[in-house]
Amino acid sequence: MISKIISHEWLQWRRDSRLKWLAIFLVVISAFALWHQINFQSTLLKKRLKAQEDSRQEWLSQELKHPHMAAHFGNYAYKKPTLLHCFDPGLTIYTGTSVYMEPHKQNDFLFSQSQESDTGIRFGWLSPAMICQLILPLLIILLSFNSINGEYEKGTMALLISQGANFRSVLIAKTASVFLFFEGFITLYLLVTAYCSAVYLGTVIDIYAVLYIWIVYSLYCFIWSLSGVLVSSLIKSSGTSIALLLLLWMFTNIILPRGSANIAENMHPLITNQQFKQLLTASIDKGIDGHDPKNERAKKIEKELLLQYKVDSVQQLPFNFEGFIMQQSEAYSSKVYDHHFNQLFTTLKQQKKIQSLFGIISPYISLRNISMAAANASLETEIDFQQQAEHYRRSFVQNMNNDMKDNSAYGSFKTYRVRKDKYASIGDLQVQNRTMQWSIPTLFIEHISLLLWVLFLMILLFISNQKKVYN
Amino acid sequence: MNIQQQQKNNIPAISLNTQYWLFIKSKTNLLLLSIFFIAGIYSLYQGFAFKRKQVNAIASFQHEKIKKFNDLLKGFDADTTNKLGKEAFAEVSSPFKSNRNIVLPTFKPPVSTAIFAIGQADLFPYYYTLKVESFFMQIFKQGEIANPLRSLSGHFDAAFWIIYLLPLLLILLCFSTLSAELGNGNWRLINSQGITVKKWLNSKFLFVGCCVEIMIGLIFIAALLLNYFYFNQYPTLNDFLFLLGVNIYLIFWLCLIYMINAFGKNTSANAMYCGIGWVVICVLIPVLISMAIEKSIPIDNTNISRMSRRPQGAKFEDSSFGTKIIRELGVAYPINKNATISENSPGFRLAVYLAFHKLLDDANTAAVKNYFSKIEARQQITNISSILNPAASMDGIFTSLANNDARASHDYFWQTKHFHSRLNDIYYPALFFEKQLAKSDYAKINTFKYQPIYNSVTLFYSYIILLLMSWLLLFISNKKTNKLN
Repeated sequence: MISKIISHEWLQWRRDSRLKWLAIFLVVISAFALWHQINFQSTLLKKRLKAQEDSRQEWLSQELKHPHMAAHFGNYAYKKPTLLHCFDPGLTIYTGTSVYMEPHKQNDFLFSQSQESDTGIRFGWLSPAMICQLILPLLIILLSFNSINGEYEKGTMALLISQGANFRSVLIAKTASVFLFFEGFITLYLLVTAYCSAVYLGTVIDIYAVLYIWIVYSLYCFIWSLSGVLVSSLIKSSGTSIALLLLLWMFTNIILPRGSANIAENMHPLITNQQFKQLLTASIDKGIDGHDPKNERAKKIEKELLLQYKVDSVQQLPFNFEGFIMQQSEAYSSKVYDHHFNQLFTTLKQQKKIQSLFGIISPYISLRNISMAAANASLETEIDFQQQAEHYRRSFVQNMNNDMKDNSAYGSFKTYRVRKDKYASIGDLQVQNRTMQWSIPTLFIEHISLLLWVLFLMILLFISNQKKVYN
Repeated sequence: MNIQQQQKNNIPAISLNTQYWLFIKSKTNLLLLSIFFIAGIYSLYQGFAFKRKQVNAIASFQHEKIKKFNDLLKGFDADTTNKLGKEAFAEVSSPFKSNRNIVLPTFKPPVSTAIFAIGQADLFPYYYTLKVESFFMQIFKQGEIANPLRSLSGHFDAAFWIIYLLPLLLILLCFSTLSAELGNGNWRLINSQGITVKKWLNSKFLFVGCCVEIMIGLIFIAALLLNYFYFNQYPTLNDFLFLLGVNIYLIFWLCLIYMINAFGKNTSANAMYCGIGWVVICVLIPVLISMAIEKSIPIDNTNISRMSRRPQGAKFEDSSFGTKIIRELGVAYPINKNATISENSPGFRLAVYLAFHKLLDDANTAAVKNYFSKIEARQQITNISSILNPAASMDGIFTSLANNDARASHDYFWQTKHFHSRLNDIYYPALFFEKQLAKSDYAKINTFKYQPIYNSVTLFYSYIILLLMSWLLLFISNKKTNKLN
């Protein structure tokens, strides 16, 4: 019976010219979104690879100079798009795209895509993920808002029931007809996106990530299909049901995500760069705990070294003390940066947690977070990229400082030059993209929220009774 | 005047009165108004909180940098008979040493209208630390800590409340003005009192428009009071242009919903058309136009991002290179033409280094201008696209009035560059003519004063276009209502 209702429903849709136009609209806008993202991300990848290569060449071709001065010439880290950015660019458009890496300080990531866009970007950025997250539920609403009450309005429900279908099986069939229709679209769209992205970006498809995204988007599609049918069964008038469903969509997909981000910021405010730099300076000057002044730290190191090597002055040490103290200072500032950046990241993670909790009332928020994580464009992956770049910065600065310590004489800052092969001995930055499995532990609340939604709607489906509404 | 004529004249009042009673009888309507009003207050709070954060950050930043600068200036009054005093004097007066000590703040304080629209203020820096060295090298390293989570979701500010939520409120209150009465059979009764479709719709939309206008008025007055009492800012022309824009935008929406009602469809169809209209205007069109703009004006920041790299190397130790660079600077800036600094001077390497910076900045200026102009062109298209893209266009205009768009940020950037040039004009002669910096030189620097950018005339263009579109919608509606009568 269920399969008969489903095929009947699809037959009706095929005959409805408005739905044909909707389907054409969906296909066109989806193709457009995919083309836009593939074009954008592949161009971006080419530009970033070229920029990274140029930066590397500049590093290698710099004149022979003092290692510390060479370190000051610095290196750049450019964030490169990954395959699933074509599907969901996530936070990547709002975070900086490049960072200048030099000794003594951890610079900010600058030049975000959003800085170069018009204010229209705040309305959303066209991508396959946006289509599936925002547009698809709307189309589901349009197909399901009168699926049950429409039958009553037309007087065909009695006919269905008289043919042996009970009310629940009609609900299941109506849900399945909407769900399967859009599930087919999601499956196809995701496969085409993954294939085209792999071809244009020249990377390998992460099967697990694609599969994971497919499962999560299918759940989301199911949630909206079931919601549409349930609302249609619980509300007699199709006019009220579409109004309610559209309101639900606006609330969960537009208002709540914005509201939750703002509430999260109010609850865990992010400090300004000015405050951040004040904290850094204070910690470097006075010590992380405030009781370890910079000068005393240096004196202490000097005293310990003299004692360890049993010499009277730093000039007598078997290495260049200037290089050593330079690296010690670098190591201490790194500790300070770690301390304060961890606090900053903790604030951001607390904000994200608040937003994730709002996912309990908005499946969109949960889906968005999961999708970004799977596509390597979440908060955690952005932080990870920054940390990888910072790790590289420290290692190349340390390498140059060690060269100064081990190979130069005390007081030879103006005369010492690195060897010819020194620059090449420092490898280029290799950013490791995290797998989907790496992100999963950060998505506990999101998974629970989506499952709770499914559970809640399933319970509603099984307790729904036509008599409550229609008798 | 006979009774019939009197009754005819009273029909609009009767219609309005009926709408009033119907409206206040519905608890849903009152609840909706309350919820949206609370949302409006919350949105105002968000704008206020963001502005307060900026103001506090600027105050703290300014205080810290000015204090350090004043401490440096104390070197002029130091007792130069002792070692410490000598050092303090040298730190401030010697061009060779003072270059790293002169650190000046520049800042872009939020304007009065910024309380309504945060816009892109979360993306751009609003304070810079300025030194003598290359402008682009130092500025393209400075940014504000980004909160990508909030940027992705967007601000819940008054602009959002107006652009997204108020149209939603209008839809909820008005989408079934006629269809509900037709559906429940009350229309015959209403019509029997001489109330036509047009009058019925007019009275409802007038009533709802007034209710929403009162809400906007209250929020607007609250914002002005906050500006005055907390930020010590008087109302500005931009505040009222913002209010004008809000009203025009809402008139547009009222006209659109009016037209949907005038087609005389049932409640279900009206809900669907209004809902789709909202999605198309507030989500789809902005997204598609934004994409089209990006495609038509491609931007590459690779070269700009590289300007933060410190120019250095063995060439700065080469005296012939140094002499050439100083000569080139003299050609570009005749004030330095007869520079007395020679390769034997202690400040020679620094002079070459800074001359190189200056020339490099000059060479890079065109690229930066080109980069910024492309970003501004993108915004300009959005602002004038009100005929196709009313929501994003108004959002762009609100952001522009709040001085929180890319154009304002770029203007601040160039004002900072101008200030940097002024600093160089004072510092460079001392360095290149081997003079000491005097107190009077520092007095010439003054403090940075930000001048908010003027409004573009495109604002009025967009307002007029939106009004014309509203008129067109009303015109179509009138045709339709005449048929319904």
